[in-house]
Amino acid sequence: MTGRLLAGLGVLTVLLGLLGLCLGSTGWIWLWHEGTDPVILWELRMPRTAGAWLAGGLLGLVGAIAQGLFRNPLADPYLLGSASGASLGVAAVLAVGGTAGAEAMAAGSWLLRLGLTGAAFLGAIAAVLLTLVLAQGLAHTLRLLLAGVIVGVVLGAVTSLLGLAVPAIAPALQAFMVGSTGLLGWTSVTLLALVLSSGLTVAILLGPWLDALSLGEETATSLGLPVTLLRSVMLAILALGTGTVVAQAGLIAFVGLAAPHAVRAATRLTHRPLLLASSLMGGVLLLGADLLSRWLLAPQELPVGILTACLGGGYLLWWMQRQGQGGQVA
Amino acid sequence: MTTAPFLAPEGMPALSARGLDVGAGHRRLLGPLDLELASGTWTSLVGPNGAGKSTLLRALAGVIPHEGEVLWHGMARSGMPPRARGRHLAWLGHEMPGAEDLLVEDVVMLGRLPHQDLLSGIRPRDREAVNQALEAAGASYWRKRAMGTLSAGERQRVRLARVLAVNAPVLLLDEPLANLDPPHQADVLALIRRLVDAGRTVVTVLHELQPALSADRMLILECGGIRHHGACSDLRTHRELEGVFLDRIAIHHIGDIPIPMPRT
Repeated sequence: MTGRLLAGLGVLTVLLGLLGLCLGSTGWIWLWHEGTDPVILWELRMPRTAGAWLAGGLLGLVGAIAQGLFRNPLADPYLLGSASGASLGVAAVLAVGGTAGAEAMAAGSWLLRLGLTGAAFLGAIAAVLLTLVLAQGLAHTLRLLLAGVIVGVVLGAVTSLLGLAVPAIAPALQAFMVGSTGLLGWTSVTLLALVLSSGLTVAILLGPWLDALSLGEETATSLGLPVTLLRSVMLAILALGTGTVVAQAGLIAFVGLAAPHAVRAATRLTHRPLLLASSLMGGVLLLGADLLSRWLLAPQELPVGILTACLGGGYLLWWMQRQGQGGQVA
Repeated sequence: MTTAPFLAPEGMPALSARGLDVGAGHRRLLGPLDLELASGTWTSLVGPNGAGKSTLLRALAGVIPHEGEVLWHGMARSGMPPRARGRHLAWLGHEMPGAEDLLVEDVVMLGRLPHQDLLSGIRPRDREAVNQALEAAGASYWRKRAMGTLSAGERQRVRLARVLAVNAPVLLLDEPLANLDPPHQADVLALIRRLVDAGRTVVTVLHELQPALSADRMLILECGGIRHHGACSDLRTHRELEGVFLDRIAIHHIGDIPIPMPRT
């Protein structure tokens, strides 16, 4: 079953990838058709398609990590304020750069992309740490959720304040808040690929430890696991992954929550295959949403974040309904 | 082998504690107490609710912070590498929610983590240990089922199998009979006896006094301290047991078998 799921997700990735190269604002053109402009193909569609898949993969990975780490199937990678922290980091860098920063971002400057990712990562990790401090650790889920909400709201307010104080960054900030795959270039693809491959490798390596953590912290400790180290590494991947995605594509909702859910609905897995399958599922979901966002209002474009929010919200409602009826929890 | 003989270092107690002390805020939960549990014996921890039985077990296992020194077979636990600790002592705690999605055999395989490198993965001897543990705990039948689909008693047998899969010389079991029906309770008690006969050291917390008296030794706790430590067959142990429960129980004897009964 695991093999079939992974193979199915692989095939879907390839098919959606091909669709992503063929579908543009001017409509559908087969790749081998002579009318396709190579510049549009290489500089726009290809990085956008690859970037959407990688960002979705990263969200799927950090979603699965968050749910394993907090032993809660409703945990979302943005839960602990990491997204608001990352947004604040991005807003701060843009505010320091001012108009020049916003222009450099539009031009796809390497240095700025790297700077934004670094700032988003620092913002995400600071927000997660702040949430943990406010919640006095990971032990009490309710306190953790409340602390996450508080940190999210307060940092969100500070981000809005920065947007008001430096009007030049407002349009760029608005694009981040909505979440968009439209501006993904090769620089973003490279960064996303680097973070996804390294995060996935480390997380898969530590997969059995996440399995043991699902038995409870004390049992994991009795099995000789360095629980604190495990939590720190996983939180670092969570913050780096969230920060990287937010810096490249803005706040894309629900993919991190829905991808591991959809995998669990299909089959029961230990964390090693779950992390891999959630990444593939996240990639497929976001790439699918990206294609829809290009196609639905063509030649206009619907920001992908709005689409994932609507689709993800619907999925969550369906899941709650299913749970309410006493059905099997995905 | 789950019940393979274990040769303990000669003359070394399996578990010993000096100045063991557990507190929560300003409240002292346990100790300070000194303790020695002989190797190759089965010790029952008994006492009223809140006496510190589970806390003592958790402190000995090193899964909660505490003051004082704990030695396992003469080795300071604090000086042992984490995985060596995991191989030396297996701990069964209270039921924790979670692992609902994992298959039974995957949960039992987690007992082999202290024997595995992250890179080496699962080896044939791990699979063999898991098979034997599932067999011993009577949980083989549903090895391919998810934990979330099992009844409380079935889950308990899987948790026991996970502890057995560690193949540790020392086993600390908190309520190993919880949720089990009488025949399976008898199976677990017989299994513990087989483990002890093979040289393992077992410490159990049991609320039912009859099975608790099947052990070799009894440690009676009261208000976080040790009230009595003696053989289960010793009449003085029986008197102390009656005393710690304020004489609301009486130990009767049918032949050599002590039978605890509520006093009417």
